[in-house]
Amino acid sequence: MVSLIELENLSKVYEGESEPVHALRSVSLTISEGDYVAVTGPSGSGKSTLLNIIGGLDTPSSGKCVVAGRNLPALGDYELTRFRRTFVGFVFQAFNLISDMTLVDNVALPLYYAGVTKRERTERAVQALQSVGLAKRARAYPSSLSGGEQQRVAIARAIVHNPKLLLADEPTGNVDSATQDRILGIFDSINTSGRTIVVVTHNPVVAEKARRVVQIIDGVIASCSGPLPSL
Amino acid sequence: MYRVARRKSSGRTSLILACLAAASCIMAFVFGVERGFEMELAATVSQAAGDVFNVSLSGKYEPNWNLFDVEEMATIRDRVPSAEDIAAYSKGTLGIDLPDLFVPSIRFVTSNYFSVRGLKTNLGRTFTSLEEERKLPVAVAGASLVESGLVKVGEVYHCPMTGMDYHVVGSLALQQTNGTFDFENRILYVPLSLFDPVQINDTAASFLRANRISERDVAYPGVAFWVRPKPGLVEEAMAEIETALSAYNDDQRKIYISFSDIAQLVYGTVKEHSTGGLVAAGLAVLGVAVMNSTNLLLLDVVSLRKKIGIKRCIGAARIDIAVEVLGRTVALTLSGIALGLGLAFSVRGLFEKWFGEAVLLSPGSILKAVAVIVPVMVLAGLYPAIVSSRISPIQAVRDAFAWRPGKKHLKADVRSALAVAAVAIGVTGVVVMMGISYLTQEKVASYLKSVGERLVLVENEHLASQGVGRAPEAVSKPGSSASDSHPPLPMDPSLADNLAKAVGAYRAAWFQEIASTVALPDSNQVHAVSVVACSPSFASLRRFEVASGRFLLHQDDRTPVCVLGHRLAASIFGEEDCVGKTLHIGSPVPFTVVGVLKPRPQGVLDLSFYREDSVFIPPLSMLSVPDLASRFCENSKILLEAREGEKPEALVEKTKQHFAEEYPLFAPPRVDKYLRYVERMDEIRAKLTKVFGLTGILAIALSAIGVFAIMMARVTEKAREIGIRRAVGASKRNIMELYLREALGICLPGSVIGLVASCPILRLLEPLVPITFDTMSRLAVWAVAAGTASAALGGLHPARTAARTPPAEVFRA
Ligand SMILES: Nc1ncnc2c1ncn2[C@@H]1O[C@H](COP(=O)(O)OP(=O)(O)OP(=O)(O)O)[C@@H](O)[C@H]1O
Ligand SMILES: [Mg+2]
Repeated sequence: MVSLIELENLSKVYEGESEPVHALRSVSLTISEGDYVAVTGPSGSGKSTLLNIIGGLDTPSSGKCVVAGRNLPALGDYELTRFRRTFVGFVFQAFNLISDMTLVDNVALPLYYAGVTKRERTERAVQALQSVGLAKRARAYPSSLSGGEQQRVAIARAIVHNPKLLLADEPTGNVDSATQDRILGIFDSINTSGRTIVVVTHNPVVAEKARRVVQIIDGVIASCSGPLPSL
Repeated sequence: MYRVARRKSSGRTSLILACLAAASCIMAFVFGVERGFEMELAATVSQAAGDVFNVSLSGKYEPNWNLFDVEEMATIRDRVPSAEDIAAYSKGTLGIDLPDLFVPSIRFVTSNYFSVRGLKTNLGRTFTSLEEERKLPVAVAGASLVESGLVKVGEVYHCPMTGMDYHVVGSLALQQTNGTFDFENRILYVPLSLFDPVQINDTAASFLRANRISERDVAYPGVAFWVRPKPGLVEEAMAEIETALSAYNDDQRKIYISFSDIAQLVYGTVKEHSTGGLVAAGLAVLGVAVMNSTNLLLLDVVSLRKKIGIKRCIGAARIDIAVEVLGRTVALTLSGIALGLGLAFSVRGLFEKWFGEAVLLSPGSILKAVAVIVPVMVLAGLYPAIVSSRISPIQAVRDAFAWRPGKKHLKADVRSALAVAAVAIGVTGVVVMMGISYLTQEKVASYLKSVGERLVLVENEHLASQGVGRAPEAVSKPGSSASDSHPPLPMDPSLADNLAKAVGAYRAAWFQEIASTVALPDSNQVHAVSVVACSPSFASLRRFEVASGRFLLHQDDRTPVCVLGHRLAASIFGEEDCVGKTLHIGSPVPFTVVGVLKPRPQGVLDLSFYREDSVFIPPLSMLSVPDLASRFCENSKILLEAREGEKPEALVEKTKQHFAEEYPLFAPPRVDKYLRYVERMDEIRAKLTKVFGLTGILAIALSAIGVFAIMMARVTEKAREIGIRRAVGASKRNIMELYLREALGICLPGSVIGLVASCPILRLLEPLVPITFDTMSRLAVWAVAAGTASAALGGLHPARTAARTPPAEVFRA
């Protein structure tokens, strides 16, 4: 299989007030295209940091981070934006929908920034909403939705532009178990359609669904099921 | 907390709108009032000048036109627009004056000159367009030329300046020239078609050389238009003239249109100062509004940073974010302007009534306001736009308000600086406005002091009614109106003292001004002057002071002595002391100089130029000069000074009554306070103080909005910190004090900066009036008061909000 994400000796140090915080210490990991990876570990171990770096939101202190053939630390802001626009979809624990926009507008926003025409935008956004079962609520505002529904909208927004990579940080952290099952079902179908998923979670049920589980403790990969990084 | 933040954000939008609306309303008013002033000025001028505008083209050029330069002169002749060019809205005429150091002054004019200016002949006729066309050497003489015998109607006059012989076809009636320089009456008018550059250079230029007038000196001709706009079309006429004259403009000279009239001088001075102040006021409000808007936009960016982060995550580029923020700024600006203009239109009537001055919200003045505000706001929106575009996408995954402890809040220092700047501008506005008000007050007081605040002028009605450039119709057409059934009261020097006694005035002076000439006994250089025959008390009434020698005395009467204005003395005798020297006044009658006046005090606008350029002689000595004797008492006037403590108005009434009772058979003379214009100036000052007060309050209110916004943001940002303080034992009062002190910490530096900044501005606006320690300390009080007021107005609510933050806030995320 072709590798989509290659991390090599990736480190992240936050310059704290008293002493630097080593969020990631020399992490090496390869994730191939179409994979479904769960990242677990105790709180503060650096999971979110890892995910943010892969998504081009944060930059590593040292090491290599190649995603879809791009060496992210070497990219400028505009290239990083282009990278996020075309390759990545984000799902956040806190949903992060924009409250003064309708669902369809929320979902269509990535397409807007990508320069897609309004008609096509709406069409694709409604399709995406359909795939998460919320097409009927397209004109509603986020505040009128339950948490689980909001998260489904967020997933629709994350996949509307057909990204190769879906990154999710505690996507089920704020929802009940029934909604969690539903979200995991959506993730499954996204993955079977060929997209790569990296999901950060504390929840063993969520981790179980993934093909691989990477455990991070104290910024270091403690265990890794599935193929190990080639050295 | 989230909810609070969102509510604050919509509140911010309305605060920005309020700031911009206030600014655009004020700017529209500023430009509207300015326009109103302009119109009133035009009206005043046209009233004073008999609806004739004098458009002066000379004297404002670098380089000046040079009479010695034939080509230059040909350019003048060819490029000056003709009367037809400006015929749509006005009747116009053109004149070219040769240097006026000599009597007669030569003015080349078109044949319609006399009708445009409303000049009547009292002998003969004016020249015709046919004569002008055929370049016939005809001339029309000003009254003084004929009266002094220099020029005779019906005879040929050889003019040494142009070297030509002119057939004098008529003379004009005497023009009253507002008691200033009697220039108009000494002009010899000849057809414009005779203006031949080559010939002028041959004769006039060499005449000037012979009289040792250098090229660099005053050897440039004056070119002027007199324009009589059609009724109600003043503005259009002015625009038309401007267009016609713009053909002139090249790299070196720009047409400068000026009204040459006393009314203009007075009104123009007032207007200049008041519009300066008004614009300052408008800019202060605008400045505060812009600072606040920037600050509020910045606060928006801070509270929206999570949203911006999300957008960045899902693919928005920096430029997308910047454009969004700028777009919002522009939208807000436009809505603010719309609101402000709506407000301006709806309160305009109220404002006019209260202010007593017309506000012309013409498309022009509105456009000006918009043209000032929009670019400034776009510039102001640039910074928040840049800041927001720099927000990292990682903000999306961070808690909106849980900023890492110890890290500075986003742009907190910039925000504080902006708040301080807003207060500083507001304070500057208040201080400058109050300063202008104080300084104008001082200026008006100094005018009054220099002119004499208790003076009343008595003059015959036919003189008073004459405007500049208008023939004294009452003289030329006796018996045509009701008041002419009574002859004017002959006012001889003895009347003054009797009048003073009869009406209980403190003292009185008789005086009369006549145009004449003076020359040194052995020189052929003639100086045009105004001869003022006056009683000795004239000097003390008019607050004249003597530089050397003495002023006239009672025992001087009938003796040939004179006192010179300082500029005249300097131009005749140079630096040397001239007391004891001899002068010829009018025809060769020798007068001995007994004194020279001091120049008028620095910084005092005194319209009586004759203080500088006149010869003062005793009343009856006038009779010894043949030219002047014939005009004795013709337009004499009496100045009365009220007793200390008596109002000049009361004296005016008493004097009027006295004339009605004692001289019922004569037309009652006009009696009025001397120099009304000073009063007008004071009226305008009072009005401006009102406007300044209003804009000052507005500026401070807007500063308070800025303080409010910044403090509110700070309180929200520090909610957790406040919670902790409360949890560890701080009382509500402690918290309130803490934040009030913080608000003062923004405002008092603002006060100091504002006070310091207003000094150079005041100097610029009122360069002539010194800023005393007294004024300065009063201004400092205003500055501190304004700063404290904005701290109190803006800081109170945030401080209360802070105090009400529940200690439980610590535990919220
Ligand atoms: N901006 C920052 N500045 C300083 N330290 C940071 C910053 N962001 C994260 N850290 C630190 O880096 C470490 C890793 O944080 P990270 O958010 O990746 O943990 P996590 O594994 O996602 O934890 P959780 O399961 O609680 O979300 C933590 O110790 C955290 O305190
Ligand atoms: Mg995390």
